[in-house]
Amino acid sequence: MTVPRSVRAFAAVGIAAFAVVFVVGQAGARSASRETGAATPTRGGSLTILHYEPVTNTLNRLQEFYLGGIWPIEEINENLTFVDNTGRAIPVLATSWSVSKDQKTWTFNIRPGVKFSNGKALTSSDVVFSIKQLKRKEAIYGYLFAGIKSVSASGPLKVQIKMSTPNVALPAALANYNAAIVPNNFGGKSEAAYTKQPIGTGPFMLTSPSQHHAGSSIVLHRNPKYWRKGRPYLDTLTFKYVDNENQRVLQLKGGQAQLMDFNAPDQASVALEKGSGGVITKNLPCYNESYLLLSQTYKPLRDAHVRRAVAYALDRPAIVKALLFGRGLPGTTYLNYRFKGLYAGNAGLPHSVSKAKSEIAQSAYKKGFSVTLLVTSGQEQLTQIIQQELAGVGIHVNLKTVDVNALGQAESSGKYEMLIQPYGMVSGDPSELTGAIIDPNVLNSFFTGYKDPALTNLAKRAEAAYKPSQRSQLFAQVQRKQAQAANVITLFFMPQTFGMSEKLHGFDFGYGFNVALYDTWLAK
Amino acid sequence: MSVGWLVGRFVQLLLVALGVTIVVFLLLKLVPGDPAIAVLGPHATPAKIQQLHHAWALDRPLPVQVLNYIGRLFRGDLGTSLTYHEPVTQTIRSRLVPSAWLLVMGAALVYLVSVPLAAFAARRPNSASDHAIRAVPLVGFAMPTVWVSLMLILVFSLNLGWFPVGGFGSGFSGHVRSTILPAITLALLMLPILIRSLRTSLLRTLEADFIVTARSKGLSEQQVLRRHAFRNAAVSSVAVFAVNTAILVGYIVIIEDVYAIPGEGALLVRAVLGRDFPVVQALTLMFALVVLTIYFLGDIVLALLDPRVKY
Repeated sequence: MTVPRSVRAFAAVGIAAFAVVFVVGQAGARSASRETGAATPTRGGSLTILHYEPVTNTLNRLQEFYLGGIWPIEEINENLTFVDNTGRAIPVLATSWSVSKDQKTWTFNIRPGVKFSNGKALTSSDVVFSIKQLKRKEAIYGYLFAGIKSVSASGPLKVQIKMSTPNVALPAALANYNAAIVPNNFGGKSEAAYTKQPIGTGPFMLTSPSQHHAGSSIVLHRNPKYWRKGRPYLDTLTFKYVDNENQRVLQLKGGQAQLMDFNAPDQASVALEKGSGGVITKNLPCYNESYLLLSQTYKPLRDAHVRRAVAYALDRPAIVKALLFGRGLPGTTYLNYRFKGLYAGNAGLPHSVSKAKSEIAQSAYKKGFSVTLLVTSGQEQLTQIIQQELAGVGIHVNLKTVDVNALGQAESSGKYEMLIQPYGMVSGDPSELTGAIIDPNVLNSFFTGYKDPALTNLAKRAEAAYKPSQRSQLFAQVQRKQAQAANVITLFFMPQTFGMSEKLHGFDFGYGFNVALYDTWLAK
Repeated sequence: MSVGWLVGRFVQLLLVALGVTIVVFLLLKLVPGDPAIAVLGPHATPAKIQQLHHAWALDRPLPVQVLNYIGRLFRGDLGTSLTYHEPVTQTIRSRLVPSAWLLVMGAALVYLVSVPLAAFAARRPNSASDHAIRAVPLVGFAMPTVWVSLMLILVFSLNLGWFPVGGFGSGFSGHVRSTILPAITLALLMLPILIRSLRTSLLRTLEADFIVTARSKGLSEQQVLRRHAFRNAAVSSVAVFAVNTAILVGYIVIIEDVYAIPGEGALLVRAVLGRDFPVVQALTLMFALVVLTIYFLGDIVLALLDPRVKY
């Protein structure tokens, strides 16, 4: 039997195509081959970071809210301070600071010899301009700086900030990326032009707007004028948005990236904790919380007994075990457990079915009631647990699935009954959470519509207190009262989970979302 | 093929595309979710949300919004992305290359594999190789796309290290290497249909009188196939190829997500989730135009291949 020449020709084309695929693939495999690591910091190399949230859309520090956007901004622009992983505000562009006796006037000494990436020296005028920007309504975290009355230069490298009320956490708040230091008057550019290619004092810089693909990726290069000698170690930083977790893990394992973030500890991250294929998972403690919001727009939830019944009914240690594989802590009070000296975990309402039933018995809903809990992608297991646990005290939970955008709309308009809101703090300032959850004028008591003027005033007194013992006592009272109000119930505290190459060194994560990669290096 | 038909067909194409765009525009208004919240984040205050609604004219009556949109469309203005704060044309342009690359690679791979296999099978109808050629590609077709993609990544990227796990790479070779596995995934979806269609057409053609005549003239099997059989068999396959290439455009959305390719499909997913209406509308229009153009070209190729087809 003979094979027609036409068929042989086509077969040859097929084989040739496969050969091309094979050769191209082999060439790639060779280039991707791994080398062994070094023990001491190595200069050079490119670090690729994969985020589950979009990489910055606009590079506008005042409006960005995604983790994938905050990081590039923090590498381009630095702040006066940085909150380290022990919770201390440490100097960055400020070398030191002091506060007046009445705690209302802060003086910051600006680091000499610092230059922006365009070569211009950093002066107090840049700092004054940047701090004044925080009063703009566009500033997402502007409420952290609402107490600032005025800011002025008291010397070429000295800045004075006057407050209307004392705020001992101001140095920590100034580590927030909204407070990043930008050149005075945006370096002579329009704000729009500036945000296309920001200039900062940070370890990395955007060399061309073409290196930024809005929402998808951004490539930053080493800033040769960076003030820390010999830093940064890395040549380039690439941030990419890969929303598919599986793809992020695979790219990490395939050597295409060296760092990725997980949305929360999960089966995949736990499986990688012991390391596999040169990749390892680390759970870094930080301010991540998950809250259950109870809207005042739904009549049964206006009853404090009902809200407390919900809080008592939830077995939060069991939730942490089932959902986070034990990589987290059960929720107690609204304040994160990492606020040492302020956190009063025992002020929360612990799991107790009998107390939950007792609260329901004292409420106007003795026979129970139905409530709708909104569910968005990734919350299915958690909401089912909540549904089961509340059923035990006569609360029938209907689960309604919505996408994340619809959830956001329902939340901000208050048109919901119950929903779950994960939250990641972006400052080391307890006012961030206190304002958001308790103050109706900040975020409408975290969109629950809860109003308790006495509690709000108590919270303001706590924020303004500067004597440690008084501050600790007042914050404990605030936590106790908020736990009793139970408009917002803390489900759990969870770590920020990263998958990283074993070649990656010097990576750490400050409080909130502060990250500095000037000390990060890759072994060859 | 008359010029009048071409112009008429082209106008039809534009009208269908416009119709699709208007339907999508209206459907998007029914979708729950607010673009202002998508941009400002879940913690935005009502005042800030209101401000953005006004800036984007989302507080205007719906008919006004539709008319405004159509008016802008005719001026070539697709609007400004609510998420990226840049002209939609710019947003789309920056993601065009990966998608086009993927589509061309997928279609080329399908052609390179399906034509020789169909010819081979048609030459041996009902043989073991014929059955195998028809049955084996069905396995790939029947598997969920996501699963097939993961298996390809596992074997060829992680175990063998031949190809990147995802992304679009950089430079020509980087793009080629990055799109081979996604192109294979796309090809697996189309191969069984095209192989079967082409094989059936070839079988029917090989039994036709003019083939017998060609053989009786003393032409070799290769000449018979190349000069007579393929041209005739291709007539029915062109329509199948056009329809399936249009389906590929739809699959690009899934493939780009799985392989993290920063193309139009991935952009569409994010735009829908982020309620970036101008981007969703522009992409819908673009995808509609691509699909309609493929059909349009299919009609033209059909007329060129088959003298009996007259427009």
